[in-house]
Amino acid sequence: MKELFNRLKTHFPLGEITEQRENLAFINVERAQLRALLLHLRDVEGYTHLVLLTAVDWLEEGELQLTYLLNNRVQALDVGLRVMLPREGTVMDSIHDIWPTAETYQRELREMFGIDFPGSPRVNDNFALEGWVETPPYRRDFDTLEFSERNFAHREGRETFDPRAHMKKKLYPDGGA
Amino acid sequence: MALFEPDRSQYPDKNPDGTCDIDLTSGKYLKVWQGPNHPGITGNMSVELTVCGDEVVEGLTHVGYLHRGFEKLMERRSFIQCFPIVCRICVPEPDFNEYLYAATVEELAGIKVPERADWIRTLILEMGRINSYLMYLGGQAGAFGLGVVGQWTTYVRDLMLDRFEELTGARIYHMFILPGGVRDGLPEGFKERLEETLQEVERTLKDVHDYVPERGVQKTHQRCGLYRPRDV
Amino acid sequence: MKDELDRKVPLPDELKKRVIKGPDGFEFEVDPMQDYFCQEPPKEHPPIYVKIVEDFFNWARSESLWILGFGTGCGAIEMRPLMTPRFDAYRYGIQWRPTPRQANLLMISGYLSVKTLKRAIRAYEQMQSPKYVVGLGSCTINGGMYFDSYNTIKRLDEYLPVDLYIAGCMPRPEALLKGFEDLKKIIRAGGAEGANHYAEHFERYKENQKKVILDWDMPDYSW
Repeated sequence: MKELFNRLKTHFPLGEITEQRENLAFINVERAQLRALLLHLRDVEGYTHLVLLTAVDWLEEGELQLTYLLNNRVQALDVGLRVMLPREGTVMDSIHDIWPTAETYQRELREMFGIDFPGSPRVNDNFALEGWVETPPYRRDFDTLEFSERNFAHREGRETFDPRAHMKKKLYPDGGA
Repeated sequence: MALFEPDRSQYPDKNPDGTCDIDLTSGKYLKVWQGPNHPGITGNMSVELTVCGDEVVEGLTHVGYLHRGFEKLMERRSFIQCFPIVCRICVPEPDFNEYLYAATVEELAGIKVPERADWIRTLILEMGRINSYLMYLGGQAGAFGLGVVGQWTTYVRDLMLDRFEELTGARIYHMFILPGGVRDGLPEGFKERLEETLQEVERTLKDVHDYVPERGVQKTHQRCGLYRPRDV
Repeated sequence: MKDELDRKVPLPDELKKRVIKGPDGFEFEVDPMQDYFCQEPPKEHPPIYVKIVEDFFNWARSESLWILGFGTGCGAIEMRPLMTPRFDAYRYGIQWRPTPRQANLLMISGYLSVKTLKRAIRAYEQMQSPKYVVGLGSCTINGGMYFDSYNTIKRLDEYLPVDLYIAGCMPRPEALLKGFEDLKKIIRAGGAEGANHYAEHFERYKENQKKVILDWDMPDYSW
């Protein structure tokens, strides 16, 4: 994977590379270089298959990370491109004209993380949630237990056998932290 | 066997943003929702079809009927508590999700799995694969009208689920593959009983093979057109 | 209109009340949210015949439960073995029907996401009385494993009147058959009054449903 990285570095300004396995590596790129890099990887290097497009929410650093995972079928190598985006008003260029299957991933990210991809087909349609008016649910600052207790009626009498709760009660019987 | 040339000249073209300007007030098109409550859709999905006679002009899929927010649930649980959750992502074949999660945790933690556990995992995954193929054959043949094939394959899948129950303790959600290996070894005499069940599976599959590709509906629908890989 | 202003998700344009022009130039007002067949809320049907006749009717109903084939969740996979000769449910008179008009038992098999709940309510209301609902699995009882999920409902009997719960995750086919047996006993004793309970507390059920389903775009009762 290092040869690939060196080859790409001659054409594009890239961030650092993280090698996880001998056939999987992640490269940090800037948003401006992403499209050219994807086209180069697809046409020249042979990474023709878009495996997935997901997002990671780095709440502490205040940014969202998009991961584009590409696969080279002939050589069986995977390369992932990481792009960092700000958390407020997140907009990203759509890649649905390079890979048509990206439109589904982009719809999901729009609904779950709030990342907008203007121009992608059907990106504003409801994907898996209907009638959702809160913050995008997969962001880390959305508290799902609190929402579930507020929105739905629960049946009382539910006991928890959570080991954490049990050990806490045993070690700190008077309720201290 | 002619090359399949899609002829969409009489229907409006797709716009760049993916929508199709179909005039629904003219009597030419019919919008049909093949919704989640439909015997032809095996599972919970709905397809919003716009149909002109026998041809489908536009089909939009709608998903999300089974959305539970797994990634969000896993944020609130510790590593070992996520097990029951990853099982239930794919209901007909839950084992490979367990294996994926276990392999991820092992890679992150640097745990090496003993060889015997590796073999038992392969056995479970292959049994799960046979199960899911049997269910698929039953569902697909049922969509063609050959309902009896579904009965055969569901019955023999039941026998395989019995073997699963003997090995792991539960019929469907096994929770057997953990990070670090498998939960337990094989019980006494398991090999012989599994061998018998696999003979039964082979007999059933031979029946299905004689029946499904050779009979009427399948035969008239086979070989209608060729696709090249770059058209797909 | 109070309902219009309270909505958090706005109604799409094609479902609003509007005036359209017909093919012969005649203008008329149309309101897609009204069910033109019948606008009434459902009525209760208390037993009106002599007790022995009602017992006979209940026996007949219990011996031919036709299930709506709507696999709402996980439990659908343990309903398939019931159709095969091994756990034969057909010998009890139980059949699977594709449409709600021909069914009288709705099995909610497992968790219900909000999207499926809307369709399940529509299917339930289109079934004809007397009708029964069985909740399968622990997710219908108290939310089960998904108690902190933002998209599944936690208590089924807030939204639909349930006659019987079958616990388990998944319940085995034998447990399902035992559940059918219990349901038959309840029906024969005259206790399966789910449909009448729904009609009696219609306002409360509707309010609970609308609280969870924010983009309500159906008539109040789908006749």
